[in-house]
Amino acid sequence: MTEALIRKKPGMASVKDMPLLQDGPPPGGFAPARFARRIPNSGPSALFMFLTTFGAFSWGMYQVGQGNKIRRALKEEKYAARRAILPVLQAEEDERFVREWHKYLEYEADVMKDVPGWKVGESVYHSGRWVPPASSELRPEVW
Amino acid sequence: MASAVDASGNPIPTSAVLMASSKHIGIRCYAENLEFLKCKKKDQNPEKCLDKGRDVTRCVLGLLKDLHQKCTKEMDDYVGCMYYHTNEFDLCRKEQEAFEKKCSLE
Repeated sequence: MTEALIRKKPGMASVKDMPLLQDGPPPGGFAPARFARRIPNSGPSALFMFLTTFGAFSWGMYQVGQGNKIRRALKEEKYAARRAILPVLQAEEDERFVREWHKYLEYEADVMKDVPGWKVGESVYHSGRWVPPASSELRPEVW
Repeated sequence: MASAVDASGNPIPTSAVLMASSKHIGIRCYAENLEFLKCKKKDQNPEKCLDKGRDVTRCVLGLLKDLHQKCTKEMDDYVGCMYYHTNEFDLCRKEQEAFEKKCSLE
């Protein structure tokens, strides 16, 4: 009701004849707004980008190769050291093994002395090669 | 491990000692090592290669004693570093250089 009293115009028959109260543009309209795309065609060319990428990749792969060379040299040093000391360790182990093996053969001869036709320490295989003994009896202190 | 030598001054052939002197062993005991490996290749039986094995052990233990007498401190440092870093060569370069400089570069 108060709206009609404020915005009335003389000779108005109903509320529907009230003057308009709208939010609108300023007189003369708004300033023009640009909405067109303006993506420039400047910057590195496709060939330049490709060559830069390819160059960076190649340099990286070259560094990978150099790093692998260094790592391989380190590994070779370790393997060469192991190869150098292998005979000493094997010789020591052979001495220990032979001592234990003779003790075991004595034990076997003692156990099987009443069995006719038993050859102490004979190989159980027919290949003729020497095969390491399969039993775990030789190192009772480990087990 | 207190030191690399036992009571009578012989270096104990532990892994640290052997790896530390591996370059010297590889050069000075090359002939004995090769003979032992050739014997092993022919026949794997330990009893057949005992004499060559004794040659190898004699050569290496003699070499260790010789190295230890010639450059005691450098060898002890290098062996200690190897023991600390569990035989990692790359972590003991300084001690390795000092050892090889003092004890007749191979």
